[in-house]
Amino acid sequence: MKKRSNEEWLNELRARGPEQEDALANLHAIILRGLPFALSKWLSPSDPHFTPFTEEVAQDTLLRVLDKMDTFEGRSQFTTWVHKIAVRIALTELRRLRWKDVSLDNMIDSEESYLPPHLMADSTPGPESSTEQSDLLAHVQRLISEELTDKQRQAMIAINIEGMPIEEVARKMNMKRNALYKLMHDARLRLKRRMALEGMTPEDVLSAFE
Amino acid sequence: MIDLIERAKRWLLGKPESEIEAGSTKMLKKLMKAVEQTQEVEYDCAEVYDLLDQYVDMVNSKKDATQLMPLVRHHLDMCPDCREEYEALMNVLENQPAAG
Repeated sequence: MKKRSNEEWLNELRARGPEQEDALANLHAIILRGLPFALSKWLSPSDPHFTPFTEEVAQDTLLRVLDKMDTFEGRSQFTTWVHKIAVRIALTELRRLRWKDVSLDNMIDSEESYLPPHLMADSTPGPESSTEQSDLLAHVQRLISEELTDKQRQAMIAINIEGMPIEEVARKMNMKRNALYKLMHDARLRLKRRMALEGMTPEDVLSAFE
Repeated sequence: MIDLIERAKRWLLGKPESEIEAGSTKMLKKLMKAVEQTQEVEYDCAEVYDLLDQYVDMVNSKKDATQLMPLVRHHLDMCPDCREEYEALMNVLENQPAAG
């Protein structure tokens, strides 16, 4: 396979006929060569789904590259830019498949139904606890309930406790991933500012639990 | 015994519970670390995606990408999805140095 500069890639992909076909075939091979490494934590090459999945990702990547080629600004290797697109396409689909049967409502509802009444009455502190720690937990809990919206708390549970990707939480909330990140940034900032107003820092809280 | 995850959820939802429980303590620590690292201005996922190819090329060529693009590094520390994509991309570059 011939080695190309960024400019050569762009020129050949914009050309028509055999020159473009050759560039597309080479790019296709480069994408397929990269995907086993990109997906090493997700999907093994020995998995029967691997080959059809990566072939579909490679095709979708080529289409997106041709569509978005004019936005490539040349600040990286062209092939790095292409791999970035392939990774986004592949991981978006794998996350969707992995979490498709999980509902956010069930995550919260299961919490309610999980609690036998006698546990609610059991308030004996564990041996490792102290009054200071109990007070801090209750204090931060109050700040969370006063500062964060239901949506922010729901997303925090899904992302930080259930380990659901931001992208999937956003999908289930009918939001863009970017918008959800901003919502969570806003939640963290609100807590930080409110804690400062109350004379607390995250470091103080952390040191109380060390 | 109610499990740690359920404890942490109840705590986040503001359920009344006076005792210290490992689940909520663990959640509190995680949250406090994230709050501690929170900056007034942070890049969002779209801004980082636009710069990610440039960033990984810098890392791959042993340039000090953290110093050169600190807001990208910070976002990667805060956002598990973008960090996952960064790691996947680095895996490709580290195994295909001559690609392209």
